[in-house]
Amino acid sequence: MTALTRIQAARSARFYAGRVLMGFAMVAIVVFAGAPFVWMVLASLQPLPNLLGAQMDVFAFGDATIENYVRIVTEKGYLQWFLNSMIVCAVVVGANLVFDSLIAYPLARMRFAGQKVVLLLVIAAIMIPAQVILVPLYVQMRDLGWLDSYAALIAPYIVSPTGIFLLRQTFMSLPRELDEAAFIDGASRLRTLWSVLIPNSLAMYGTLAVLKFMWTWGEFAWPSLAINSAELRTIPVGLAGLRSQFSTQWDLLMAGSVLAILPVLLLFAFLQRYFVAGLTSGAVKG
Amino acid sequence: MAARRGGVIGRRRENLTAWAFLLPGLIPLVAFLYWPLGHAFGLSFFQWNLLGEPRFVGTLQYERLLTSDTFRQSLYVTAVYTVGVSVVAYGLSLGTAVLLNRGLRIVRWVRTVSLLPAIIPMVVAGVIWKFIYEPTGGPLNQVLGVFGIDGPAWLQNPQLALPAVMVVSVWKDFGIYMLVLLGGLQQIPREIEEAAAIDGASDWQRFWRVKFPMLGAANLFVLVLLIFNAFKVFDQVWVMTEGGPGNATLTIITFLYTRLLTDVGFAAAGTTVLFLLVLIPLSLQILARRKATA
Repeated sequence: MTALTRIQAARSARFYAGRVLMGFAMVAIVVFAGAPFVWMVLASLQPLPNLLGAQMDVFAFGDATIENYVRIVTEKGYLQWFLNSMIVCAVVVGANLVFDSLIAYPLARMRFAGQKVVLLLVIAAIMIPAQVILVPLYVQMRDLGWLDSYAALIAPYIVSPTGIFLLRQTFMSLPRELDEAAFIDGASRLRTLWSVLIPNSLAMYGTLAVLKFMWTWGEFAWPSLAINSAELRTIPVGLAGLRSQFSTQWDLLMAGSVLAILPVLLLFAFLQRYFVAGLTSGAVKG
Repeated sequence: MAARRGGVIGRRRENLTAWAFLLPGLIPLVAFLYWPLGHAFGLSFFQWNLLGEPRFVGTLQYERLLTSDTFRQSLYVTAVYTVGVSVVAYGLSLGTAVLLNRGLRIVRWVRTVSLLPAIIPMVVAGVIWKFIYEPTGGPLNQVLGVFGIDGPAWLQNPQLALPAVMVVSVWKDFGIYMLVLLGGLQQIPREIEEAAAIDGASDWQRFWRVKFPMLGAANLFVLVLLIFNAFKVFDQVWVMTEGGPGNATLTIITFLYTRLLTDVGFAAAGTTVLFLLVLIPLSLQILARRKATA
């Protein structure tokens, strides 16, 4: 063996050792991130006795049943929770797309009195954690008579500082000539926003819609405070309720959890690009 | 554009149009965010249980907070949680980002799976992990049993409950931080790395001496996010332990949540303190930005 081939052999041995190590690391990450989902799905198919104490056996495929799914829908009113979550999400996402655009547009393209103050209000709002205002929000909704209603679930979320900020950045990145042209043709401000800026920012709108849906879908602390009646529960509130009664109803909880993440997973499967963009740019919830 | 509608009248019209755009969204933003924020501060000087009239008590609530052992415990728990989750989540996400910063096809799959926990509701994450942590027969202890280890009661043990909750938080969000760091890594020009390689730098040196320093902005963003998110942790704690056993996992928000409706002024004072704490990582970021641009 010449010196050169020996060096090459040593190099490739190290190369393959590196590859194997990398492979192990990747498998470890996938198992850590993914295994809990596998357990959840397997457990959701087992009758309660197989999920308790020493008899716990999620791999008892012989006992597998969809009974849990049937029961959480028929006995616990899962469809109602689902409907509530969907209504709240639809209104919140829709309202956000409208209101966020209406604030982002003047901030990006117009000059008006108070512009700096409005921009500051929006950016500072991104940094206010929702948890800080739980107490006064409760008092406020009580005084308005909105507690225990859709209004309480929706109102605090209909405009998103993060959304405004992201849209403003997107609008500002578009060439001004685009809307100048529309302007010269005599289009109004609203018209310009609607037929020039929005069609050119669709990717950001997709990101925003996905992000806001995901956040609203998972919202827990405020809804569980604001809602009392069983028929107004959203999915997270309903699920958390299954946990505290006497002992934990793992069979129903696991089936409910699978159903709860199904819509987000479906969206993720089809719109992964928007999720990836949203998770990084909207990493601060707001 | 402003030029086209020059003059005082044009400017006034522009103002009117702008505010007509702003108001529909600005009103709810102020009404449901800024007004409550100010109200929380105001309420923190009153004693109130939601019934009857609030009674002005000056700074009594802040004195109660500072002398409350439970509040101190919650500060301690939150501090431990913040440091622990930040260190572990940062390490894991940086390692994953480095691993995934290659053109292999399998990389996309690993990235996708790492992101799954980040998109599901926090409550569901808490439920799944509470199941995994079940003391007898729970999946984790079954796996440990294979290796002959008699697994403990994770969430019922005061020493283990907090680390167990922290693992869930790391699991939930490391994918997001990984994504941010991966974005940072991908922005480093290839030529720089190649130049270092030609100069004979090892993989290890290339990473720590060349790439890592260039991650500055992404690193800082992730750090601020980690601290910011850790300060306000609630959902997973509430679902898994409700702050127990014996206040071992009682984070600030978890503590205040139990007082919210019976001791309004006290909870308001607590959230005001929390808000001030949250300003720390944010001012850190602003300071660092200043330094970077100066």
